[in-house]
Amino acid sequence: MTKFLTPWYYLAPTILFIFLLVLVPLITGVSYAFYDFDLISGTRDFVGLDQFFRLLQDDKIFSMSLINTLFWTAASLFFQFTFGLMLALILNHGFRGIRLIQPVLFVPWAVPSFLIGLMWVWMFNPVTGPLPYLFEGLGLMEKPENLLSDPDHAMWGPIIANVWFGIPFFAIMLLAARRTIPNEIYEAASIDGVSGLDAFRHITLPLMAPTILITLLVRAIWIANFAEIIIVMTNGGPANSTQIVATYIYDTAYQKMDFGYASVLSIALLILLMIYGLILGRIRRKMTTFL
Amino acid sequence: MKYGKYLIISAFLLFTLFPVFWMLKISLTPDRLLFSEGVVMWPSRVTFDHYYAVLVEGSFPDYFLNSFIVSATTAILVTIIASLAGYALSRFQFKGKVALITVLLITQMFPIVMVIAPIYNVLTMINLVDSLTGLILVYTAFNLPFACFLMQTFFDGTPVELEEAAMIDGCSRLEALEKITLPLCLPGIGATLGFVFTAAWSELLFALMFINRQSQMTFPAGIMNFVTKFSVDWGQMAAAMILALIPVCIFFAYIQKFIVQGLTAGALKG
Amino acid sequence: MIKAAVIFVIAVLGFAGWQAMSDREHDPNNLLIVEVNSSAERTGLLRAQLDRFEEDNPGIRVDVISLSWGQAFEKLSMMIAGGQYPDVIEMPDFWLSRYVSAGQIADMTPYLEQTEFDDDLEANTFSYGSIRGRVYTVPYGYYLRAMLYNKKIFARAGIEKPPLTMDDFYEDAAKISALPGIYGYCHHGGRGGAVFYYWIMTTMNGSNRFFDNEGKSTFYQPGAAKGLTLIRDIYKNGYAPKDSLNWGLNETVSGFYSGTCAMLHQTPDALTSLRKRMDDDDYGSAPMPLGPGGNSFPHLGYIGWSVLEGSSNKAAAFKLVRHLLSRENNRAWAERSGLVPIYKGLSENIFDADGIGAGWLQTTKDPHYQYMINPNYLPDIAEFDSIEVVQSGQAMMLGEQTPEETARAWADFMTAAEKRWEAAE
Repeated sequence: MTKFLTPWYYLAPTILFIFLLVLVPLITGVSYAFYDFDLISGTRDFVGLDQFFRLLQDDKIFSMSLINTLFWTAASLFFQFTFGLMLALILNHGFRGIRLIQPVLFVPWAVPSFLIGLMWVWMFNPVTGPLPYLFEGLGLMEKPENLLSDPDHAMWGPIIANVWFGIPFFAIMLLAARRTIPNEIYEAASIDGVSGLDAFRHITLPLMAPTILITLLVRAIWIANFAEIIIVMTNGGPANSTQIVATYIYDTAYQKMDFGYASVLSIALLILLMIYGLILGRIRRKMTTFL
Repeated sequence: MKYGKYLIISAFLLFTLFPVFWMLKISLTPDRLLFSEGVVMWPSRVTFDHYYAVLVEGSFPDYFLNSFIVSATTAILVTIIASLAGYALSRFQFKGKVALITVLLITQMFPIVMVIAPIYNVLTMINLVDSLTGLILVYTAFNLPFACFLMQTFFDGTPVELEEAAMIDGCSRLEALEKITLPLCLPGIGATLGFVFTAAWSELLFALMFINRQSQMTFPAGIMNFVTKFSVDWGQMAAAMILALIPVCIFFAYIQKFIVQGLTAGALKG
Repeated sequence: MIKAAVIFVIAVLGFAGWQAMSDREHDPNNLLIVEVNSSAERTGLLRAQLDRFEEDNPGIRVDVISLSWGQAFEKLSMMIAGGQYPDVIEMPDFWLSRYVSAGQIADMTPYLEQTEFDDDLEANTFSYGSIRGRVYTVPYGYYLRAMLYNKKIFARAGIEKPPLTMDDFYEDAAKISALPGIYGYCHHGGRGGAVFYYWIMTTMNGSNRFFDNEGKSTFYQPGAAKGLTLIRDIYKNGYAPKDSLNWGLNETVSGFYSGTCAMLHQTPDALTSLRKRMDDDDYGSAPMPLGPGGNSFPHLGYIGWSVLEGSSNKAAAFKLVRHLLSRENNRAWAERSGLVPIYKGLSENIFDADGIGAGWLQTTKDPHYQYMINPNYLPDIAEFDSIEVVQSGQAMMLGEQTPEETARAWADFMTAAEKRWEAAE
């Protein structure tokens, strides 16, 4: 009997905290989906699944924001990962001054996200920031204009800010993963004449694959939910061109004060993320048994 | 090829530091020059007025202190609680483990905006709204899932055999944990402390929603006071931002090597 | 190590438990007032006025919570939903119907019937804050719109006077935009920009009414679409900065003082920010341009004080509102915030006829200018203004939908909301 209970002693404080302050509020939040809920008057009328039908039938902004979420997540993830991997490999290789430079390169991670948004708003503004002139000089723009006001490209603004913020996370994770690969493997490979890019492709990448996948999985969920930078930089505009599901939920809850529908949107996002998590979990299991 | 490496590192450094440099520049530019000079790399005149205003005239020292109390307490609390949970997840096979992990994962997927109102009600009920203590409890709960997984990886990375040997020699499980395993996990503990501290230090939404009194504000919430209906005091805001970056950067610079070490050790076995 | 850890956890939780248990019984003599448009200077003035109130009413204490404008609405709703009732709150006009229809605001009518105010109180003061004939809020000042213009830039473009008519407005914007890197108009395309669209639609349409006698929106009338076409053209032809599409209040003001754009549709309280950053001789104000009918309908908004239904001491709360609205206090308050005061006699103290405030002073006196009051009684209007109008306005400016379609869609919404309102009576 004690044996059976032992792990739960260790887990009890965690469970207590999460139950009271995360799970109970979360279930309350989910229950809003079935109510027509007005925060100010405190009235709630049970409406069953009506609000779910509204989502499925006529919500153009939702489908638009879903596509934007995909783009926002995929592009942020792609660049964060690519540059993070690059940085991790260089840091692993080592260079003069690394002790001083490595912490500096990790700084963005410690900056509060709304400050990151504000910082980049300044950078993109033609009156206060250098970037429009840089873009003009590179021939990307005809006139130095604010990227954030161009509905066709505005999403790149928050994405750039997010990449700035996210590179260190990937660099740290991947650096740790790279360090776990014993040097003997590379030594043995180089005796067989495998080195450089080939070694990267045949040794580094496959051995790091599990870490890469789990990091991507966790990070994708996190980015899809990450609204602060967008709220600060564009507030979903212009004309919804940077509206992702997470910002749309925020608007619905706190601007329209429609907590019921916001909850429906959250549940939809949650389900999509869970499906995605399951698929990635499967792939990972296959890959690890395969390797 | 040899120089290529340094070229890439320089590019990374430029990309990382330029926005911070730009903020520093704004914080040192006198208000009237900010717009009149246009986009320049360095203002024609430099002022420390904004720093003076933030540090001496405003309540920023209080905000910093509040932020420090909240972040440090949260970090320690989370690390202790998550160590226990991580240990259990790493060392025991038990019924309900998968379910527990799933629940922990799902809590990470739900948008935080939806739980703010319910949490506010919970806090009102237990009389902890508008107080730093309430904020600490909420931060603790929300940082626990990730910290648990992190600590689990670290424990996975330490050998069970030593612990079992100690237990055969008559140590209790807790003694074995304290004497054998925890010392091996120190980098991991440092990493978790660092993760949680930075997360709590930068958190805005909860701080903004749960705190009303000026005297209880943390730094991110306090910085929003520079935004009034008609204007944003950019100079002071930038100065506050630069000041806020200093402690967290020093702290982070110190712990980042533990993070890498800890994660490496954790991943070795995991 | 484990022992120390356990002690730490118990200490923190114990402290939390002690705090949770400690009695925070609410004393009815302790009033709580919440301001939502806070700035450090204004909070100082409010505190001074509250101190006077405490002196005059021994035994009563007043605490202030200062929310910043950006999050005030969310936070206040959350406080009220959580059962934390302030006694008095600062109430912007466009929130009122939401709170009143939720039953949260106390009816001030009986109290006001027994209260004396000076004779020169603006005639509509009580009706502005009324819904279905009951007074729920008393304005402390008016947010009247006028056109600020940058004199230096006007001179560079060879323009002598601020625009008098809508045609002048368009032509001046065009001339100024010919200067390199400078734009004519600081468009407010983000949140809060709805009142500009409403101004240009009603003014081009020649009437400041939102609904005709059948309760149909006047935005169906051709003048409304003409107004939208005008501003769309200003934007499309590059007479407003491209990013102004996303600008909120802050950005329009900084666009103006940075010299990016030369005309700004604003309320007088923006002057407090502008004075810190511009020389008084460099800019001025003028009434909003006249439409084809020879009239203009600048928007008049207000913010006032309301007493909450959940207040535990309404009598004292009403008294506090009266105190804040006394002639002396209103004067200091309007002066500090740069508002049109609620006592007519005070206007000239605040707006100098030759100075920057000239445009506002003229608007209050010249019969060509009549106020446009938003249909704030409609419970859905705040959400419509802050989300729907912003999003479809942006889509129109970008050419994704025509001004006619936009005007019709807004008219549809307004008409339906008005019908619902009438049906509920």
